[in-house]
Amino acid sequence: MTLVLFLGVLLLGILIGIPVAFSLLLSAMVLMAYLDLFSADILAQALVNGVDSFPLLAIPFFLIAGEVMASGGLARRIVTLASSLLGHRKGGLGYVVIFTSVLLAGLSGSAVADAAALSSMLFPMMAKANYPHGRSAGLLASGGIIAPVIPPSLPLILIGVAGNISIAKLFVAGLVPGLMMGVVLVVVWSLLVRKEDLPVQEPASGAERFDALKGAFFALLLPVIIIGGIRTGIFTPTEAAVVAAVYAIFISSVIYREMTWRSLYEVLVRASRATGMVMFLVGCAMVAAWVVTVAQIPQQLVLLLGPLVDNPRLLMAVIMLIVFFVGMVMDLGPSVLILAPLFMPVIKEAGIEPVYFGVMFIINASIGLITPPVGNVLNVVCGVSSVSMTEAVKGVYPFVLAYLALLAVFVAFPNVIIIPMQLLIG
Amino acid sequence: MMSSFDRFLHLFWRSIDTLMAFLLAMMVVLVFANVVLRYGFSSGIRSSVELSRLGFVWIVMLGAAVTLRHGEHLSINDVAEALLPKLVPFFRRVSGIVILVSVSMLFWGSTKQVLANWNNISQLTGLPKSLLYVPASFSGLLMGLITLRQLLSLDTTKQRESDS
Amino acid sequence: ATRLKFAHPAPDTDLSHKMALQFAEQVKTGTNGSVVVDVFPNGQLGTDEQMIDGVRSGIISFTLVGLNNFSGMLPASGSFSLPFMFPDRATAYKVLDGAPGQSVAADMEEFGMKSMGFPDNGYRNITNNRGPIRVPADLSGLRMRVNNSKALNDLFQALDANPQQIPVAELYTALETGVVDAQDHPIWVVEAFKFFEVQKYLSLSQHAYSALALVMNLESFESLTADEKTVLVQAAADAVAFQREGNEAAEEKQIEFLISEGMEVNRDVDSAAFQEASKPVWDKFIEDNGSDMIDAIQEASK
Ligand code: NA
Ligand code: NA
Repeated sequence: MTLVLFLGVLLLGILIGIPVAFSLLLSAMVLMAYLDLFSADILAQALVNGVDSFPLLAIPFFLIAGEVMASGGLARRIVTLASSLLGHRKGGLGYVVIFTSVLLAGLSGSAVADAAALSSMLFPMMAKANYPHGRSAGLLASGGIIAPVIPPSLPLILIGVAGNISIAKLFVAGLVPGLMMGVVLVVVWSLLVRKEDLPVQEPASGAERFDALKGAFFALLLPVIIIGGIRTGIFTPTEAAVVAAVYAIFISSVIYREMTWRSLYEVLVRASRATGMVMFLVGCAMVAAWVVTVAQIPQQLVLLLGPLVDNPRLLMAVIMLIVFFVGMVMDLGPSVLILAPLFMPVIKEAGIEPVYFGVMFIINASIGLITPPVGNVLNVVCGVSSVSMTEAVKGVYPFVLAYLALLAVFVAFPNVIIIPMQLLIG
Repeated sequence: MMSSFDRFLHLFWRSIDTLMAFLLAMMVVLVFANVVLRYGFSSGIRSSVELSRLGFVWIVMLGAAVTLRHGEHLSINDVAEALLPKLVPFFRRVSGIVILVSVSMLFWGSTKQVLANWNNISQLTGLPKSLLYVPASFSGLLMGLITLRQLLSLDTTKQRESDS
Repeated sequence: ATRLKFAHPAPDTDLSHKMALQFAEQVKTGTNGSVVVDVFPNGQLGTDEQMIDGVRSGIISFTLVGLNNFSGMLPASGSFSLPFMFPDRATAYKVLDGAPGQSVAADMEEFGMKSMGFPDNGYRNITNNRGPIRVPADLSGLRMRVNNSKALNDLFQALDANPQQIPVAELYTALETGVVDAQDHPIWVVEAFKFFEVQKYLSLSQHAYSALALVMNLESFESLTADEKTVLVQAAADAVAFQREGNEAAEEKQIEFLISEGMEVNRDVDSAAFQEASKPVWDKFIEDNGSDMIDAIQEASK
């Protein structure tokens, strides 16, 4: 009942055009009133505390890095290189996006931060090359959610602690399915671009490629610095975002001399505004999550699972459905904290490998980040690229379907995840 | 011609932009300096994490108000426009009222926290915890005024339409 | 029935959660169901600070978090977690249940909270990847994650370590990649947050005692009937006793587990040398916050 009320109000609000952030607050307020705990304190505290998060600082930092790269000459040089290498292929920039997503996923632990970085750097290039906006946004968002699956990953740590699962094992187990998500994107993208009318260039000559490589040297050094810095423990993934921003500012102002104080100021203002929009929405989602938790809606769902413990695959399938539907309306963090501990006893009783379950949960809840109505990664991409929600949803759905198919494969054949994990752990 | 009130508003929003840019620059410097100090000089800035979190909350709250002023909060408008075009003005008013109620609650709840936390002093920064809620309270107020203005101008547009 | 929310940060496998459930059960039976407590583990309703805000404003009724979280409001309460304040747990319990603890409880009421007792969070111990910590010099040059306590930051700075602020959520990765080499926490945290997977050495330095605080929203306590109040106070006292006993007993098992997971445990720590090094930290604390609470603690420790 409470679930229906919450979802009904949320969807109604969004469909009549109330901004998503305020639709979330509306559904939270209605649920509060229904539970007889209507209070401004809940709204204010959950919102402010939802925003007060150090790891999410990576968002404005990556936004700065992306904006500086776009306006300071780095991005242009990367596009030149990418198109000299992949320009003769249809949809070449799309493959650049996917490759970069997987690379970034190995560095950063936050899908929202990754999506901000990816879309602020790559969307302008795709738009310039006449890629359809909605499809580009969809691909960028889908690439962003590989981050929580490939280590390092804040959500995997979260589920390790909340569900008492080895984080080291979760990290190892996330690697293969994360890479498979990248492969799935390549397949879907190559099918999609077949129908699109995208510009294809003559293959570049060896000399052109070498020049492009030389020109992009400093831009290519950025991922090297970031990977090296994180792997050798010079900085944390959150700090890496600030290093990226400082590096981009340094290269474009001191080396390329394509950035002025004026344009730096404008970058800071734009990054602040985008941060405000995206993070306010995150805060409102936290208000809704707080009220949903107090209403004990997830517990109502889990109670229904008891009879399924004799059939682990069916149980897993049903749990995955629940996680998917919860993920449609709730952010990744809260759904892990609330659902994972509830599922753990059932998982153990059914004899399902906890590490496998943890990875599956995170993949699934990450997909929730790109599904409407509440998809924080989708929101970030929309915010950064100024693509409308509707367009982005249309653009993202083929990727969501493909990810769900992959998830179904993992449910049917758990060994696809478990065997590589055992091989890697030794 | 800009009235002096419009000029004031223009200046006001420009200074909000400048404040956000300044805070963001400060966060970059703090977090980056901490990395350099830790790795290069075996030292660090104790307050860097808390201060940058504080700056972050300020930017988000101010940025949310700027976003609202420009009507740029994410929303899905085409469904209503396609299915029930006649009701769109009504929906817009409903939306305004929902926003007004939510930001009033944000204002009220945050102001209470501001008052409750003046004597709650962080050990590492020496700053009261109230500062975390000040921007939420301020932003709630700003968003309330913006929404009121938009709701009233909805009424005047309607008036003008029926006059003509 | 009155429904009250009890929120805490520990995983539902932790003793804190069992304690909360026991408390809830006892309240329910004791009041014949007129007061019902719903428990929300795992930080579902927010971080420690957020839950304290929640209890103060009444959107949450109970929380169970480290006493150190209250030092922003009650600076003198920082005295309890000063380095080497308590030689053993028995003394800590005596002081927390005695006059000094009651004075903290009285101060909490100014901030809208009713103190329901101080369960045990254990002593803080150091883990790192370089080697066992036996003498203060073993800390020299270690990049060490330290919480937001000023005294502990001062202590590790004085010991020539390099104290760093890293949010707990990012600590596992920071230890794994080597952003920091060391951290200090009670032993159950090393187990629950899986730090043993990325840390080699555990040294039982026991350099600071940490108590938990079970607090309730004052208004919702006052709104109960006299009988209900009695039941709640008794249930809290029983829960605290249960938790303290269980936590002490669990610690040795946790250490055994950490050893079985490959950690090297070092019990040979030169406490006297560390205590000597912590004197300036005490002086600085007294300079900032006065010595009244410290004197009261030492008086009650006798
Ligand atoms: Na990652
Ligand atoms: Na979603």
